[in-house]
This record gives sequence, C-alpha cells and structure tokens, in this order.
Amino acid sequence: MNASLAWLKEFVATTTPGFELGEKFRMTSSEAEGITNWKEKLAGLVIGHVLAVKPHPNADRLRVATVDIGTEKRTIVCGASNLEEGQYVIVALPGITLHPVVGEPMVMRETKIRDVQSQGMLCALEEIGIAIASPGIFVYPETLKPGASVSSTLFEDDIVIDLDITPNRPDLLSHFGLAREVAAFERRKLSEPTIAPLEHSHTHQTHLELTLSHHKDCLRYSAIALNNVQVKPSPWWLQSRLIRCGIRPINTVVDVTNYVMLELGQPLHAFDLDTLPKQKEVFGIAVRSAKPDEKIDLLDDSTRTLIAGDIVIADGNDKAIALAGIMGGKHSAISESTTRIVLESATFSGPQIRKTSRHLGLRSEASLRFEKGLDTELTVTALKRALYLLQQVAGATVDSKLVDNTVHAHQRPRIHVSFDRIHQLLGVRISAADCRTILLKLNFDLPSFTKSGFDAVPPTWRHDVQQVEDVIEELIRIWGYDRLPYTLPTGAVKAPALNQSVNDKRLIRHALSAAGFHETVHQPFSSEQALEKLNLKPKEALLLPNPLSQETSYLNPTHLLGMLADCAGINSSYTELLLFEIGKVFKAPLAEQETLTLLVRTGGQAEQAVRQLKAALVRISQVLSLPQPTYTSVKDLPYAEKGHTLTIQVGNTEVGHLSLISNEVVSAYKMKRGKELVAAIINLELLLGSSRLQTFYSASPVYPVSVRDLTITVSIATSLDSLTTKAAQVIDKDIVRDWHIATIFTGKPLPEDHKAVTLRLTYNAADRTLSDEEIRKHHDRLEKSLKSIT
Amino acid sequence: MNPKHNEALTLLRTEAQASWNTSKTPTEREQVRFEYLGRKGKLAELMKVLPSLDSAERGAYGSALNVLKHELGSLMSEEVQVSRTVDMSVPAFEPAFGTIHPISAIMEEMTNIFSELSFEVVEGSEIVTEEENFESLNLDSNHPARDPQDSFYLTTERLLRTQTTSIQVGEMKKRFKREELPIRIVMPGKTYRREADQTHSAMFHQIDAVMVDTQTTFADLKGTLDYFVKRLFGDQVETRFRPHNFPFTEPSAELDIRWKGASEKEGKHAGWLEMGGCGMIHPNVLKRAGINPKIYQGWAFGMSLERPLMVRHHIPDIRLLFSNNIQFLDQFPQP
Repeated sequence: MNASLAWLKEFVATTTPGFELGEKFRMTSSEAEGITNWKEKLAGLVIGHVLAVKPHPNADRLRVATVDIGTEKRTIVCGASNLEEGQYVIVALPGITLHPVVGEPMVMRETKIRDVQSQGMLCALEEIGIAIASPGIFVYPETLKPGASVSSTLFEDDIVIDLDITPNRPDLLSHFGLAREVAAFERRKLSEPTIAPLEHSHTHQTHLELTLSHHKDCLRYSAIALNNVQVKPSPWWLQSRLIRCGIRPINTVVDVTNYVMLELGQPLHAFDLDTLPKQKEVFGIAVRSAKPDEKIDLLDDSTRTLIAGDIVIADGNDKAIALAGIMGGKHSAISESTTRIVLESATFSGPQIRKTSRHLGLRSEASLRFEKGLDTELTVTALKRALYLLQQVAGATVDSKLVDNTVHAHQRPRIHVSFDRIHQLLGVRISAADCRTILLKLNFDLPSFTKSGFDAVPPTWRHDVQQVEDVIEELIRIWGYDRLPYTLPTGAVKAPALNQSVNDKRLIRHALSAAGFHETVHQPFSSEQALEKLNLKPKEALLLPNPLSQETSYLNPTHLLGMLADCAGINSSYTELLLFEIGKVFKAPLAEQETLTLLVRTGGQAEQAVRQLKAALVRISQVLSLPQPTYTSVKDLPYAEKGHTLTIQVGNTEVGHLSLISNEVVSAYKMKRGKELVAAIINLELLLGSSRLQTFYSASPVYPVSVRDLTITVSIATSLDSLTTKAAQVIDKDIVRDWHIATIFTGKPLPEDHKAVTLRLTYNAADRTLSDEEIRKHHDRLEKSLKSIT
Repeated sequence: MNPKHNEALTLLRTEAQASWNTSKTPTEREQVRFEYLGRKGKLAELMKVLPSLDSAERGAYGSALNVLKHELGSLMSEEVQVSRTVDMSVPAFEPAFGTIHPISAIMEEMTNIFSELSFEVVEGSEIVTEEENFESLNLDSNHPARDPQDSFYLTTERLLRTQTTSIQVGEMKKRFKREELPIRIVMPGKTYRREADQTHSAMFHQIDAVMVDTQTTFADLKGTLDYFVKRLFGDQVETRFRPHNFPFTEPSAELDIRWKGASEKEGKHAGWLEMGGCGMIHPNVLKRAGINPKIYQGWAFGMSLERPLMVRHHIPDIRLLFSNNIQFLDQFPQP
C-alpha cells in the first residue's frame, strides 16, 4: 500500500517526518518497505510558461520556445508536437539530474541542437520518472507561477511510504484506515472525509431494481444512479494523488472510484447506465452465481470462462456485466460518451473472491481488498464520498434512490479482558488508563470498565479481533513491544532428554569431516533424464505434481544424483574427493527415508577407494558404539558395476550397500578424470536402530607378544575374502590375539597379474609364554592352507 | 702414596681433562676416549705397575687409580650435542580435512544454544498432512499461505512441509498426554516452498522453538530470543520486536537484530535485519494439541537457517549454499 503523507494529513494533523512515520508504522502494525520523497525525486524541476514558439531554422521537426522560468527567460529547443504558446510546462534546467522511467539518470547540460543553443529541456512525465505514457510533453491546463518548484506545485512535496499490510488488516489498505492508526499511536484527533448528503425527498427519473440471488457471498450491495456526468480528464490534484499511489489516471469517473478505494478501502465500480437494458426507466441489477462455463468479456480485453460459485453482476436480461469484486465487464464500461452511470459499492465474501481470483489467475486492487474481508458498514459512506467528489469534478447529479441491501452484517463480539490476563500473557502491567486510551483511539467500544478489567467491542472493520489475546495484541502493539522487559523463563525445569538420533548424526558428521569427508547438502530435485543417467526407474521415484520446472520434477531417490552431478560439474577438477550427505530420500508413492550416503572418488585404484570407504564405516561404527560392519552377500544395483555391490551388515542388520559405480554411469556423466567412484548408501534408521556395544576394560597382555607377518602371493583374481575366510578357519584364537591384512602389493618384482598379500598376526596366549616352536608350527600350517587356495 | 705416583695421577687427570675439553667432534672425542680409557690407553699403562708394588702402596695407588677411572669414565660419557639445521618455516601440509556443511554446523550451534536452556531437539517427517502443516496451526483453507501454487502438494492431502512448525502440534499433544510439562522443544529441519530466486530456494531449512507451561510470558519469549541471538552472533548484537501477523500466534511479532554501532564502511551490516517470527501460541493451536488455553500458555519462534548464515558470513546468494562447490565448502572449516 502506497501511503501519501499529504493525503494522511487531511485526516490527522501529524507533524512526524516521513521516515520516522514509516518507522512508527513498522513498530506498531505494518512494515515500511520503501519511501519515495517527491521533493528529492523532482529536485530542481521548475514550472515554465511558454511565451513564444518559433520554428527551428535548421530542423523541420524541432521548434524553439521562449520560456519564462520566473527569474528569466530561456531559449529551449523542443521536439514535442503538442508544444504551444501559453502553455505551463515542466522545465529541466542545466545542472540537474533527471531520473527517467527508462534508462540511466541523465545530467542536464546546456547544448547546441542544430546550431541553436538550448538552455534546458521541456519534459514529459516519463522523463521525470513517472510511468505514465503520453504523446508529448506534460502540459498543465491552468495558470501556474513560472519558476515555482514542480514538486510543491504539482506533487504537494509529498512523501510516499510503501507499507506491507498484513493479511489480517484490510482496513489499513486505505489512507483513512492508516490515519486512524496514526491517531492511535500519536494520540491525535481524527477528521472524517467530506461526504455528500442524500436527500430522500428528491424525485428521481431512474429506478434501480436489485435482485440478490447469491446471498451467501454478497454480504451487502449498495448502488445509486447518477446523471449529467462529465467523463473527461480529472483535475490535476486528483490525478496527482493517484499517480503518487501508483495508479494511472483515466477519467473522472474511474479516477473517483479509485480515489475512494485508496481513501476508504472500499472498492467501487461504475457501469454506463445507458448500456444496460431497461423497462421504462427501471434498470434491473442482479447478483448471482455464474453459470457453469459462462463467458464474460472483461475491461482488460480478456474473455474469461467462469465456474459455478463465481459471483457476477447481471443486468435486467440476466447477462453478466461484471465479475463481482474483481473486474468490470467490457460492454458496460465508462466511455467518453457516458453521461449516466450506476455506482456500485458492495461487500463480497473474501473466500469466494479469493477462489475466483485464484482459478482465473486474475487479481486487481479490488480483489486484493475483498479477499481479506471488508467492513459491510463502509459501502454507503464510500458511495456518498464518491458522489461528493463526482459532484465536484464531473458535475454529477443524483438520478435514483439509493438501493442498499444488507444480507450479512458482521457481528461484533464483546470480549472480556482482565488486567491480570494482560499481565499473565505479556509479563508486564499496562495501566487501565493506557488500555482505555489505546482502545478508544482504535475505535473499540468499552461498554464496561472496572477495577479488574473491561469489556471490549471491536469496530466493524476489525474482523480479526475475536478473543482476549487479539485485544491484548492491540494493546501491546500500540503500547510498544519495546517496553516489555527481557526475562528468562522461570519455574520447573526437567532434565532435557537427549535426542539419540540427532546426536548420532552429529557424531557421524564430526567423525567423517575429521576423516577428510566434505558434507554436501543438495536441493533434492531432479529431472527424468538425471534419473535415467543413474539407470533409475522414474516410475519408482516420487514425481511432483506441480514442480517449479521440468528440471526439478522428481524428488531425489538417492543423494548420488547430486553428488555425481557435482563430480561431473562444479567439482570436476577434484579427482580425489570424499563426500557424504545425510538427509531424506524419497520414493514413490509417498515414502521418505533418512539416509547416509558416502562417495569416494579417485583417479587411482578403485580398491584404495573401497578401503578408504570401509575405514570410514569402521570409524562410524566406533563413534556410535556399534559392531564393526561386515560385508556379506553380493547383489546388483542399477548404477553399480555388475557383481560389485556388497551388502553392509552391522550386527544382525543389513543396513545398506557398498557399490562400485558402473562405467556406464561414469560415461553417462561424461567424467574425464577421477573415474573410480565407490559409494555406500546406508539406511540411517536401521543403522541407528542397531543395538549398541558397551565398552568394558580388557587387560593388557601379561605374557610376551610376538608380531609375525605372513606374505603369500596369489593371482590378482583371487578375492581377499576367500583368503580371510580360510584364514579365519585355520587361525587358533587361543594363541593369536589379533590378525588382519596389513598390505596388498602388486608390481615388480611380482609376476604380472599377481599380488602379494601380507597378513599380520599378533601371537599371544593368556596363560603362558609361547615358544618359538609353537608359533612357527602355527605359522607354517596357516601358510600351507592359504597356499592351497591359489 | 708415593709422591711420584701421585704426580703421575695428577698429570694424567689434567692432561685427560684438557684433551677432552678441546675435542669437539664425535670422532675426536672417540679418539680421546680411546687414548685414555682404551684397553691399551694411558690409564691402563699406569695400572701396569700395580703388581710390582708393595701391598700398602698397591692399595693406595690402586684405589686412587680406580677413582680416576670412574671420574674420567663419567666425564667422557658425555655426548657431543651436534647442532642441526631444520627449516621451521616450511608450510603446512595441503589440508586434507573435510568439512561439515555450514547449514549442519549452524543447526548444531542453534540447537546447542536451546539445549543450554533445557530445550529438547525434535525432528519430524518432511511429507506431512494438510492438517499438520496448516489446519492444526489455525491456517484455514482461506488463508493466503495455503495457495496450492506456493507449496509442493504430493496428493490432495499430503505435501512437503512448508514449515518445521508442522511438528509443533503433534509433539505438544504427545508430550501433554504424557504429562511432560513444561514443554521446551526445538525443531530443526528441511522445509519446502514453491519459489526460487537469489534469496529463496525451493528447499531450505528452518528451526522452531516452542515453550508451554502455566506462566511463560511474552517477556520470557523476548528474553530467550535475545539470549539465543547473543549466543549466536555475539554480545554486540541487539534485538527488536515489532508486530506482525501469524495465524498460529497471538500476539505475534517479528524479531529483528542489529549490530550496535556498526557501519557499512567497516564491511559490517548496518541497520536492522529481519530474523524470524514469534509470538504467544494461539489458543486455538493449544486446543488442537488438547491443551486447555485457560490454564496453560506458551510461545513459539521460527526462523530460517539460511538467513542468519548468509548474514553472518556475508553470503550474497542462497544458491551458493547448495552449490556444494568444494572451494565454497572449504571456506567454512569450523565444525
């Protein structure tokens, strides 16, 4: 809502400068999002009087004007075709900066135009930053004082505050409503706008006959016919205010309806009476629900198809002439030849206007107000205000009785507020005197007021105030949130329970980052093509019915989508990369699964990546007090190399799988380097649900420890799994405290296609010193059985 | 003792000490050690006469020789301290550290602050019902926030949550039933809205905090959030509360923060920055959770995680946070 300070001052005599007033609004109701200072915007522009216009000696399209700017006369070259002697115009003198609607700011300089010195420029509105197109320069129709400032003469030196009005306050979408707020927070007197009296004794030519067949969504309908209306450009003061509030002036009738809407918040609509069917001088007006597929031509030159429930205004032949609360119809629009009009001022149901506006994708200044719920008490006041203005600016006369039909008046609740409740909710006492002043200034009625509290009845325009907390909000926002103390909660505190899952995820993050992994967080949306790159079936993924774009139409079924795209894209130069992500992944029809995904990328050997990933999983099992993971059966996954997926088991639970990303996928991503990628995908709910180990002390060995290595050479194709399985069978746990694969070596001097695997065994018995002989025997037996594999 | 023997001892001691002290390198010292203490060394030479001496002289001279032997042995066991040349100005290894994503890091930081105030962390589903996301929070089907174009609906009744506040009522209900009062919970997580530009992304993160008991006030809400903000940004940050409208709180307010005396010139944020929404829980919302608003009251607070993160680190575009560019991530090594 663009609020003009000059306009506000008609109702409340505030002396607060614009910026400070914006801040006061911010601290009491509505955020000020911007301020336009017209004095600054139009600085340096002056009024000029065109004394003479002569042809330019060297250019047919240019003319040379002599312009009185008060202190002196200037010669100005001008190309506008509407330039005439005697006009009052806007002059930009050399030295000032213009901020045109289109293009860069422009510093004015005295220049020679085709050999004639031009000492300034005559301006169109667009050239001074007002987005109103016109074929030539701006011409003021009446006498002005040459040399006077344009800002003060034509724009009241105004300051316009752009306020963000919250949806519960449609009453603030008007200057009068905002003035009422100023009166409340500055404790000032509020004056009402001037309205025209309606004399009931008057005899009328025209008769309006109203039929409301759509009661539910038309809460009140008021209308009146006017005659002798002069449709012409509005006087400047009216146009100027509309311009400052961002509305384009059109003609007297349309401008007055817009003016009243900006002033009182009540949208009005004017129909050309002579376009409507009549019987003698009786004009029928009906408010009804649209018929299914009913068509209507609107003012914006569009034709809309309506659905049942939409509200239309129909003429005496039941033809729709307006889309109620949103936009008028094309055929009954005001034109230059209009002399008789029907002025409509109604209250339509907010939810229905919103529904219609939504399904048609059509919003207007009127629908914006209606959909928030307007005050039914406002219709006649607005009509009388419009009548007053039309009498002033268009010579209108009353031509019919006022028709006015209230169907559903808003019921004002009576709310009891105790001073204790205020204190209990806010933590501060607001004095009875403050409560009374604030609420009276906001037009609440206070039918009872006692020592312990009061009853408050909100004004008709405050549908949002329904219960005691709403009244307390009114008090505190005006009294000042700033004046509330800062305290910390007191009272009973129980020891907070640890959220195990959140804590575990935290441990995982810290463990993995310490192990060199980068945590990623991706927008979890992908295209069908992206799923196909990973060989995933789009049918199994969760398709969004209304995605932002085709590129983001699926919810990711795996974090790998984001990670691999980065490996091929933004992180393509990082060929050695350790990544992990924690978060939900999604599957059709409506499944979400908390998942931990790890990805190791290397330009070297894939086995190294597998080892690194397994080491990370060991560390995770350690920090979570879980048994170390084991890798069992092999299965195939769509994005993995065939035969290169292991299931990851923790305790007795299969928690996920570890896979080598297939060449096919790597090629689909067009990765050039760092093509060995190993991923682990772990169901976090299963992992974190696994039973934990308790850590108990175990004594250090008493008898001597002897560490011996055993190296055997096997073919590359021999899986380490077969070696370790065999070793596990042979190794005597009574004398071997610990054993593992220490190194795997390939290359010279080994024959090609062979690898040397070194097992490291720690010999130690709990009850005696082992003899060399005993160890050697065991070692030899192990070597023999392992060699039998190759 | 024979003066001649005594003199020989004194001479050897003096000579040996002088030779040792003038030797500098390990090799020289080894030579000196060999010259005096070796099997055919000067001390051994003196010992040779012992068998030919009478028993009294042999005892006296022998023990004196032994004393000297220990003395020189101890002196000559000292190692030469060779000075080494190590360039201590070598650079650190190219860091091979990983990083926790800044969003996870700030989420942990924020929940930790609330934990200090005895709040429990609660997470929830990302696919929720309209009831959880809207109705339970007093957002009826006419509310502008319920425009289907603003949310990711999956079916007519289910959608990706648009706010972590969707956890609130279910959790309050559960806790109230179990008589776990007062309720102090903090709810971080991912949320989804159908918009994307420089400051909005379709998926973003929020954190909500809720407190319910018989007496907690708006002043407590102010105090708690002021504590939260000061712990997050530092003591030089101050807070401001101004009215706003949320269907699930009444009275409602918006929280702004400001660095005291900061100016743009110093590369700092000047002026007030909007941080989040808050207010006293609306009685209708308490009722939805089965809590009698005549006896209990509470407050709620919600904000996005991206906004304070962008403010704190001067990140100009929200999309950077989800770029997962390693160069970007490496700029935030703090866990």
